[in-house]
Amino acid sequence: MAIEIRQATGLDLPEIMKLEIASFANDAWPEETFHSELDAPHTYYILALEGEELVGYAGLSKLAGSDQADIQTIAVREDKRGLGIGRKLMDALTLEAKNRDAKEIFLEVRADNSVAQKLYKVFGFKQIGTRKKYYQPDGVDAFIMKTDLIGKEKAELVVLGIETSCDETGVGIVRGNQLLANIISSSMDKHAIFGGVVPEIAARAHLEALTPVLNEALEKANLTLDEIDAIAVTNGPGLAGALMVGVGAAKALSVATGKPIYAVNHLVGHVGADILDRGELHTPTIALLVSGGHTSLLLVRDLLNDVVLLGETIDDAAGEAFDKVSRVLGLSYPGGPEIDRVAKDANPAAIRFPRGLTLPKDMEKHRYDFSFSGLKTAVARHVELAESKGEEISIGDVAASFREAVVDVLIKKAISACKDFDVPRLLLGGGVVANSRLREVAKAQCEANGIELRIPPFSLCTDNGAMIAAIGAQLIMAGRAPSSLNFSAESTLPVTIVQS
Amino acid sequence: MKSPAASTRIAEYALAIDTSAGTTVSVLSMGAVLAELNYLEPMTHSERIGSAIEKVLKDSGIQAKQIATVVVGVGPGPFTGLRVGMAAARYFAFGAKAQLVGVCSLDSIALDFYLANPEQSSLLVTTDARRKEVFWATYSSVVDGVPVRTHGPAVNKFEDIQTLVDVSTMAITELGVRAGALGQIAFAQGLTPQGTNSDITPIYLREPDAVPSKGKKVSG
Amino acid sequence: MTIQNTIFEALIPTIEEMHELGLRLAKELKAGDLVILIGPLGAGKTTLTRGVGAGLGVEGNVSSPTFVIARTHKRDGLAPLVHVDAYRLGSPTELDDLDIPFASSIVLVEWGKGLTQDISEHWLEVELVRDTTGETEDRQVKITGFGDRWAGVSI
Repeated sequence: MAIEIRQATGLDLPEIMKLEIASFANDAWPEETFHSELDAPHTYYILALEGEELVGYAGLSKLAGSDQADIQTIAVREDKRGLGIGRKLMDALTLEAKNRDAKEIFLEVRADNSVAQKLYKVFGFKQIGTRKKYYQPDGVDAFIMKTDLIGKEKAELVVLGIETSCDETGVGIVRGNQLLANIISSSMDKHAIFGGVVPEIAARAHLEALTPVLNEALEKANLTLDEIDAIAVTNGPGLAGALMVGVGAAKALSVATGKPIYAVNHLVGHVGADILDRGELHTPTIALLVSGGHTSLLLVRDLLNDVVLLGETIDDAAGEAFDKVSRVLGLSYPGGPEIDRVAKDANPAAIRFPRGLTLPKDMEKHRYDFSFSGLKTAVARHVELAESKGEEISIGDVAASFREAVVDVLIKKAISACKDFDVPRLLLGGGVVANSRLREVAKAQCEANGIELRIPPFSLCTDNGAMIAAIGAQLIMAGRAPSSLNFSAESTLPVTIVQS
Repeated sequence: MKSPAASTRIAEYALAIDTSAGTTVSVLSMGAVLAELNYLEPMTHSERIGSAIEKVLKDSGIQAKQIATVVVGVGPGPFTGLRVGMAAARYFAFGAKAQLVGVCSLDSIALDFYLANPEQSSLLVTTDARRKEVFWATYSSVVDGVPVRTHGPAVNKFEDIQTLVDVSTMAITELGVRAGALGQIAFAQGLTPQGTNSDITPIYLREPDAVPSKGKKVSG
Repeated sequence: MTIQNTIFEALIPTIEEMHELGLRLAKELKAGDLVILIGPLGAGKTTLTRGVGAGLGVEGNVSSPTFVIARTHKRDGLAPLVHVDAYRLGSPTELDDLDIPFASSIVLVEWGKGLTQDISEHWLEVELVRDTTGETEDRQVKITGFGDRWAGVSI
């Protein structure tokens, strides 16, 4: 059911108090306090209602003549959390603060309330201080957070992102740093898109998927095309023929609607995916992007201005190695999940497969580069040798040992990069992030080395349109001019070119 | 007699796009060309398509939101280029809230030929299909502005066409595809009982073999 | 009947020498050339291509394009190298679908056997055979030139 936001009155107090006590326990305001708050001339309290039911409320305080507003409180009924009600309330409060000519908004939040902090960060709040043991009797610190309303307009712009660099057709919609929709063709009902006949060739599938995926994204975001403010599209790197479909479509959409267009780098998009999960990207960060088509290690000092390719694969991408080894072992496609499946409970130390480009001589010239071709060949030879001798091999052990070799090299080099550049952050991206062992080793190694690990949700790690929209939004917020209509699809676009 | 279905009648302004060979775009009003742009280079569709559409609209004096119909050439033609125009047509129509209709790209060549040679009857149209083959179709005449196709579109070695149809009395042409002609055909179709063609599936002609490649290669 | 000519045949014992063979092969290539690489997993196709890329002085890292299928490496003002990995392709139609401008590029196709009929009047086939006994790292390499273009050529 739709959520309605309306202003609170004194008559709502009993229902509000029920929710107040349920939400805030020891920190709950007494009824008289809440009553004064609702009555006061400088406050603005709103309710979120689902039909007749109160599911949330929030309050703002802004003294006349002051530049500053405060968020007094915000609460969402426990069983209705995670549905975007908090964001709706924040939207309304932010708008009211602007209408009352506030230039800054402040708030306090419990140090242990990470859910609320996450919500605030999406709205651009940053921590500016701490009040120790502010919340009594719990003795919990209060984080003081603040956001600026000037320049807030840009953060409210809605961007549509289109991604067709390889196999997936993705359309995503964001509002600033906030994810509104993320639709990917492979997760849609194939019959819905293709009417039952799936094009064998991926590039043909892009053409057929374009309109259904766009429709679904707009529906999910509950927006019409008119409400989109800008379009972002991947123009590289990737398969030229596939890229061209998205590029052609996006340009036409731009001309038809008059909305500006931003041509965005796919790899930088993968780094930007974290913004949609966390509300912002903490930089500098090392980014390890591992997919079927890419295996790259990036140093990101500034998402839009300073992204450096430290190293990449000199032969096979990691995801590709999984697929090829899977085939050697007689397993099916895609290889990642298959290898994971047979490697479970098997012995990763059974065979010591080569870790490409880790020898001392390689570490000089190829310190952050990867090579999985030798590993792939070693596995093939191991299997061939055993077959020629008529020996039995344990597919599980081979798979586990192969996987261990891949993960070992990926994480070791990523950690090296973190240490060498003194960057205590590692971000993972790309479809291979689905691999459980990769995540396991990443967590363990990062913990052991005092490095903060970020892994966005899987739907943002695979190729998707939302991450492209996110980069578009970042470009707009940074005041970047749109791209001209003349950019081309570039299959080898370097990571140093964020926008074409 | 059945009257034309309301939805197929081409409303005032139309945008025609074809990228089956080069990039050609046109804006038409009630079937008459207001502006047209033709770029012959075959490899730059995705670079050109945006500015081409923008320019032809400007040249015609018509705004994007006034376009009520998008006419797209559905091929046959080399695949990637063809898809760029078709993708652009889909999203332009979405953005301008226009209806989308398709016309066989070879038909536009036939129309242009008959307009220049009204005394001709049977015609063979061919375009390069690479791999030493041609895309082709035969026509008998133009009726009420719509070329009447008698065979094809198909793809064959040029020498083999005569085993399939009697080309001995046919004129043969290799003119280029012109978006204006596509738009004119669509307008004329809209006035007929059959109406315009709402099937916008690209004409690929060369279909891949039945078995997908996944699950095959270890050596070779 | 297309003229056939063995332009190179030898045992290549190391990765470095495979790379070097690529450098030498690059010197012979120009726009309109088509090179088909035939060999199993791990035979050295990508290594050879990297050598070719280096010899041609291309932009961008030459790595396996299995997933993206084709990558175009520009060369300042000269015919680009189009590196195709047909591993995921099942038919010539799928190769056609890439719309590669063969006449103006140097095209190198890994796993290309059987997919390139009638694209060009002349082409090279590079066969790489890996020692599967596990004893050595040797690759047996044979390069055959098809068509008048390669008549009388040797590397």
